[in-house]
Amino acid sequence: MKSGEVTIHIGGVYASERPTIIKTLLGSCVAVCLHDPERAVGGMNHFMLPRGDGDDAEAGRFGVHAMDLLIGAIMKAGGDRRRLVAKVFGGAHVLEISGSVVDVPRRNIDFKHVRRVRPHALAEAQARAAPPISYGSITLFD
Amino acid sequence: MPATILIVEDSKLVRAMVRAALQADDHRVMEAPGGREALATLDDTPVDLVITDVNMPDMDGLTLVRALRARPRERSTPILVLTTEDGEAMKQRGREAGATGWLVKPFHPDQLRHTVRHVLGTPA
Repeated sequence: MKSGEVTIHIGGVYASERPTIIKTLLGSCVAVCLHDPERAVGGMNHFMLPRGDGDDAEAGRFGVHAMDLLIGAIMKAGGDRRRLVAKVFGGAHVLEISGSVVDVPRRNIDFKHVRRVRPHALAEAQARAAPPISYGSITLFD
Repeated sequence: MPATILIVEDSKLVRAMVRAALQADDHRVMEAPGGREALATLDDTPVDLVITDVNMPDMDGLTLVRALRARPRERSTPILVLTTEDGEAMKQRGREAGATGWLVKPFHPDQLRHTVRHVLGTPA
């Protein structure tokens, strides 16, 4: 069985029963990786926010849909949702936006499907969250 | 108004970040990986502003600032120091060497552009 490599972006979902390296690049977004160890089926999604405004064309960009899409893809590939093991990555503070009331990373980490993941996986997601960036001072001499 | 700016910095990545920030304001950007290369570049091309790191292998940034202030052409050219050094003693050394300003990394591109406009005397 030949192994492959797949890159997914925001809204992307991929699952396979074949040995595959699934790549994505995360900031405040979250990627949930699910794996059925018995059937060796696994997959990953990459979502931007927990939920959106119901636009189906963008469904995968939002966690509520991205989780359904991923679980569905894994089941289609032969996995059993009752055996799924999850790891979650992302939810980092990559930008310090002054005055913003929309804390995207916090909303993503608080997303119920992310919270439901075993504590060690959530801890891993939070540990990987980068600290807020603070910029250096500027001094102009006389 | 676009200016010619020389970035003196041994990190290629930081040079690229500074370049990107300045090119957004349409400045012409030149690069030198160290003080010696900077002096050689300035022998050929006059610039409107020099932005230099402090800790570099061959010639440190403060030595470069002093060398530039000793040259007629760069005697009054604005020189901004962009460094991770944030101690008051180092800033004072920079001031005494003749630096125009001291920016501590990490820098925000908007703040860098704002400071550059200020020292070049162009509208913000």
